[in-house]
Amino acid sequence: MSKELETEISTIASDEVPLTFSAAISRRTEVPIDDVEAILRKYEIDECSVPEQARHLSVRFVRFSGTKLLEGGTQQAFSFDWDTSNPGMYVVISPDNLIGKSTILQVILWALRGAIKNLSGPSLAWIQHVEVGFLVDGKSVDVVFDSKGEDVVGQATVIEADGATQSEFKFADRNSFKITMESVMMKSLGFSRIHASRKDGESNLVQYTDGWLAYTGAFLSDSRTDALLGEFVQGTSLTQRLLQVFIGVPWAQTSFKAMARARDINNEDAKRRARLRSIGGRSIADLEAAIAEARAAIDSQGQRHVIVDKLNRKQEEFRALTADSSQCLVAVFQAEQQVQAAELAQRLATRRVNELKEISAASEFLGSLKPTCCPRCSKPISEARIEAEVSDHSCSVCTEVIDPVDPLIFEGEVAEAKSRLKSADDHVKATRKFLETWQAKNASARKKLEVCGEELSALAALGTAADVLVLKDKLARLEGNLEIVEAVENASLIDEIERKVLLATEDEAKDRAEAASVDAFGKISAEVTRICKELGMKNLQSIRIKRNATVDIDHGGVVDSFGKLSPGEQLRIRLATIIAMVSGLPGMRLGRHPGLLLIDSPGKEEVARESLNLLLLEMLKAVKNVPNLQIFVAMATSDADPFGDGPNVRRIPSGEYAW
Amino acid sequence: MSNDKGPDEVARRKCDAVRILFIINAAGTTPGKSAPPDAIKELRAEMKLQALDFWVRNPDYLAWEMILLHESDPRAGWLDSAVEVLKNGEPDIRRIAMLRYLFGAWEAVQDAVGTLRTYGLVDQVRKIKGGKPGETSYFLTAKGEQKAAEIAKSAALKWYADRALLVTKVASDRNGSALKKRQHEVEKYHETKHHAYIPPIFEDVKAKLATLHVALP
Repeated sequence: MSKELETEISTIASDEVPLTFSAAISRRTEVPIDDVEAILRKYEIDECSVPEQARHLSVRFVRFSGTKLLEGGTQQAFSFDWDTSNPGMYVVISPDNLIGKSTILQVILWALRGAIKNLSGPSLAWIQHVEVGFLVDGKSVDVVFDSKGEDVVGQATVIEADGATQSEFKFADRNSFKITMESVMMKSLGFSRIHASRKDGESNLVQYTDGWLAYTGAFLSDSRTDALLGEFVQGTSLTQRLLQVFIGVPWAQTSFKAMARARDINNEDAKRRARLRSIGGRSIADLEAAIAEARAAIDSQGQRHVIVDKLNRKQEEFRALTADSSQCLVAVFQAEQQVQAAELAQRLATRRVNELKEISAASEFLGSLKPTCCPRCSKPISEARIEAEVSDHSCSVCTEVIDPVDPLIFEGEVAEAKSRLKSADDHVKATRKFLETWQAKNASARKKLEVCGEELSALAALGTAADVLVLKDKLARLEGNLEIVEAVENASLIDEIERKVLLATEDEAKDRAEAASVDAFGKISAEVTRICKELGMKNLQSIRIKRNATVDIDHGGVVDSFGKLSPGEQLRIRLATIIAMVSGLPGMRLGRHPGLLLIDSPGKEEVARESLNLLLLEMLKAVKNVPNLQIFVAMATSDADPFGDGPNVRRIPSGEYAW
Repeated sequence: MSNDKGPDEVARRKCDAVRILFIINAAGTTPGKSAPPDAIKELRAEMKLQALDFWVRNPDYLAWEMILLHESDPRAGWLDSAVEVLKNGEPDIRRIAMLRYLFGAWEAVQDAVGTLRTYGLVDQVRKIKGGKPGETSYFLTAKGEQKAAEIAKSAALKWYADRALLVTKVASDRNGSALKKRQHEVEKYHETKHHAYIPPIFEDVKAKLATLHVALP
């Protein structure tokens, strides 16, 4: 604990003056007092060192109507109306059973709880309309509904004490009816839901809350009632908690509320953890590392924008070089075609030159020879004809005149052919040079294209700009997750402090309640003992109601537990306890029971008529002496009873029905 | 020596005569019994003369034959000879197209032979068999051999003398029928229509050389 806090607390506390509630919690938790008080204010936890003034509940009227379905299918309309606006005891009495007495009490409970308790099947089917008016802490609460089996439609109207302010709460089904009555009654009576836990199996602790229905268990006493208050529910501390509430043990409500709020924080924390799990359960450190990695990747990807630009330019360059290369190829092809054509022309020119040369050579050769015979008949050619060839230019073989070939013409032809050949040679050279030029250009273009292609491949291998978008998306998600985790962890941190304070509040309140309850239970026990003796428990020495709701009954040295008592004795103790809790104790603000009790068939618990009458008389006396106590009794007896006749008593003759 | 008709036709006959002289001189062998007294060589049958003349006039077909000879005997050096005859545009420069007749490439040699007979360089004897003209033999005289040697020195005509020797070597001892049959094995030769010029096969020869991993310079 810090020195400052220690000083603060010691300033507040002294040997004579006990620590204030906030200071005590501060000491337990080492959280500054101001923070403790802020947390208590935040969660609306009041210091209930003095129990709140009891708020009273009574029934003003009960009405219901419907149609009975009798044997043979006969329908019989019915209605029941009872004005119960005065406090005191109201009795429905008949010698017969199963005439609808219990139904009247169950209808009251139905309207009070917003849910059926023990209404029999036929009654539930017959009742079609219900109106029950309550008086709750000075406010009128009128519950009106139509019923079709368990389905209900109606409303609860709350009229404030001033008579002017009115609130209506409609309901259209069973569930909303229950919720409506819980809300209206809990608020009107100042009750809170009681948070508790029970073990489910070996180790599973189940958290739950008890609400209005649990409270109403303390308003009924019938054959099913087996606890001091209400019905015993295995594994729970319901009776104990109801006792604490109805007795008005100081600090009890504070501890209940603190426990409830701590449970709420735990639930919120569990939800946050579930949310953390849903996003991978990563820690802040993990997420920050992932974010740094993503940012680094984006930066490096950002460089890729430069590369992408380069890539685009390189692609353009590649396309241009491809076009150049294609042009060069075409030019090379065309140049090759030109060379081939030139070479063909050259060959043809060469051929012509050769031809002329061959003709010249062959002519000269053969011209130098002297014909010897006729090629046709092989007859020798005479000398005279050979001489005539020289003088007359007549052929020595066929005697035709030989036209001499003009050598100039032949030379001209030869010259011309040679000239063409020369031109052809030159053209070949020129086209070959042209081809070489284009081949060189093509080679250069191809080389550039190859280099550009390699550069393009290298740039393409570095990835695309689309990666940046993916990374940015990933970064956004990581940052979002980090926000969530930070918020959760911050909330958890805050929750941790608040939970610590709330748990300490619960513990402190429990300790204080425990300390107070010793006195409270002692006093209540004494009062209950007194009342029980008045209710006919003659051998009773003492009754000790403990905080855990167990009851020790001392019958002159023999101590029994509540469960071992007879039903009649249990009823007396239960009744005495409720009377004590309604009337409170002189000079003490103990007792917060609203004052409504419904007792069904008390005659069953009594064997002796005298005992029953004594009990009934004591009950009558109790309601006269205890303001704000209203008891409804439904009983079957054919014996004389002490109730007399009056508006509070409904006597149903034998053979008739209560409604 | 082109196939063009016109004023050169007379001169062309003289060139044809010289070429035929060279062929008879190169391919002629020992004369047979029916040889004239002054014959020193005999080339038997016109079919052989035509076949040899076809290869002299079509260097690409000659190269094709030499490639085939190479394929049957790679060590004989025919592949180099085939490449040689295809160099420097020779198939185009030296080609003298021949017409396809009934039995293959054929051109009338009578004028050329007649010219050679006039000058006592060559003689021919046609055999008569059963009253019908038979085989014709061509005989080279001593004068013809002498003059062939002289004219072979002419720069313009030496090529034909050399080619006649090469073609004779390619033909070896195959007779005219065998040579014709061989020439018919070339698809473009065989598929040429009657009276059409037998087309060049230079590109085919180049392709065939490519399969042998030989590129023309």
